[in-house]
Amino acid sequence: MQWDVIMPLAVYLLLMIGVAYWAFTKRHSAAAGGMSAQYYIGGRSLGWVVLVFTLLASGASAGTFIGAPGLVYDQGYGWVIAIMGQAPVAFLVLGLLGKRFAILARKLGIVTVVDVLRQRYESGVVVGLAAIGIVVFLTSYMVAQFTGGARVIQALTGVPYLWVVIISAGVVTLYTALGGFLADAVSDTVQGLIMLVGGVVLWVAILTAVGGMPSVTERVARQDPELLLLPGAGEFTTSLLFSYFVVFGLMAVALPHLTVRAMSYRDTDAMHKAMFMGPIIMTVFTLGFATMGVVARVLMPNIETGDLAVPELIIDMLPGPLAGALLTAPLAAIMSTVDSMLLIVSATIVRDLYVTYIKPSTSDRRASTMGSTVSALCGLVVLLLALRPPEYLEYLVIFSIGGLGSMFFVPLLGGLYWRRANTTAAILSMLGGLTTFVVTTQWLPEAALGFDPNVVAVFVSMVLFVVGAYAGPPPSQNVLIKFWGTNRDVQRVLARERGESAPAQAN
Amino acid sequence: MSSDHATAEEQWSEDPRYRVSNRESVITAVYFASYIVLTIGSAWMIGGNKSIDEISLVLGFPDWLFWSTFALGGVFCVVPYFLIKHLFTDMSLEADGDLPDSRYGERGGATSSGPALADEGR
Repeated sequence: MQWDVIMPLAVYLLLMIGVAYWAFTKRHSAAAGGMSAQYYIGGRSLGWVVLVFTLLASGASAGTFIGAPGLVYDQGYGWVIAIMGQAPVAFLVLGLLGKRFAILARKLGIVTVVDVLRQRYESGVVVGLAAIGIVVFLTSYMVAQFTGGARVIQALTGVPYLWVVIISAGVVTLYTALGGFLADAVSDTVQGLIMLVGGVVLWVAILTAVGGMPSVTERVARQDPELLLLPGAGEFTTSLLFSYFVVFGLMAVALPHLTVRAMSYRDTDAMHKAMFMGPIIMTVFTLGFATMGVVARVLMPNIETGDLAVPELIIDMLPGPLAGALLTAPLAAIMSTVDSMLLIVSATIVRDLYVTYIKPSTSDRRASTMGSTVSALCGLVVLLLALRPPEYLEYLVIFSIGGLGSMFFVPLLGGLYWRRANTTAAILSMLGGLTTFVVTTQWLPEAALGFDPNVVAVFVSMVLFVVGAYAGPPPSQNVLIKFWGTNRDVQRVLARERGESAPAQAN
Repeated sequence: MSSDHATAEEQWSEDPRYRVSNRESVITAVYFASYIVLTIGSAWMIGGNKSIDEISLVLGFPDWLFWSTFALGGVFCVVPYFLIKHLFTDMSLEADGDLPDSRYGERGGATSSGPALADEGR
């Protein structure tokens, strides 16, 4: 056991438990009737600091801090470009969904992405597909996060894999179950700051230790020149790079745990500031860690798996406590991604399935308590699954992200911006996108024509969306009013849907 | 008219804030499209299919990586500031909020009527 490395990690975990306690007390002060919205969306109260960090920390997972440098270690600088596709992710999520999304959510009382799809397409099939997609893909993604992270931490600290999984998953589950969205957002902010400082300190510390980048690069040029070239060892092509930009940047807009953050901010000031701070912070995260893959290749050419490159570099080059402090960055990245996903899975089960279809009379207080219970159970399931680890981290990440992206991207944005979009379009595009993704990934990679399967899946999904929109009946007028009308019109429709008599106001 | 009778002919108007929001979404999309084209394009133009002897170093990084990610990445970190400052609009996000002024058309300017929408729908 390396206690000097473990200590900072332990301090970090204790800090997270503190966040759980704080959010728990805060939650009980929520207004009556708003408890469930408080649990799942933080009462739409986020300012720009928390907004930008919760967006980025939820988006940047073990992939950014462990997977990406690992791929750079194995295949060279081409991966740095590929992964830079995620730099503008906060700008994209907030800008593409836009103020309209935040306003819509307030008018219709929406707190989940599935709720957007349900109200837009009025179809149980759409809700069912979306719910299954979220539960299956997010669960496998969460498992991948813990297995990847725990293997690394075990290798470095000597703490057994079993305990790393149990403790880290346990802490995430604890603060998510107790504190909900606000605990997630605040812990994301702490975690995001750790990642930001970690990225900068890592650079300065390692480059000081090795005597600057030029000497590293000269050694790489002698040992493994392929790492410095395009296409290089990664066999990159422009269409492949384009694909990664679409996957890591554009499709992230439709990842439910990121989308939901576009309805959580307080005002346009928070949104604007988060939009221009986002790319700066994400660029630091991405470049700071990814470029270290090449440095690790020079200093430690014989690491068995790329995932261990940066962590081994940290341990080798830096004194124990500083190394431990820097290793909280990948751990924080994992936990901040998992907490948001846990909450989405919980919201899907409680709000979108149970309250909507099984027992609409569920009280707000009861739904909020159920939220906690279901979050805890989901965390437990993830923990149990993570005890049996899968193989290659970043590819698993791409697989689950791609599955969700190819299901949600077109129906979500299409439904928001195109009035003709209807139920048929949504069902066809979701099924078609997912099928294309799975088939091209598993059996027919050549059908992707040199692009990543995700890109082909989104394209097919888009075509089917248009076909479906013209094949099926147009959406009802109620839907159009709810998604485009002024609040007066929207509330009139909602009142009518609830079966209430219309308010007798002059019109 | 009373909403009790409101069915297919129901009168309603589009929230004027949505037009402004839609324009901002288009700006966002153009930003990302240029980011993709310029980043990948510059990397490939500078470093694509070259041998190790043809690659020079800038601050210790291969030239193609430096110009496409560090330099251009830096530019694309600054661009959002100006886009937001000059092209984005502060507005209320509340359900019954409105645009702060009438620069983008009067409230209810985008009135749609039932029959017109039905035409568009078919």
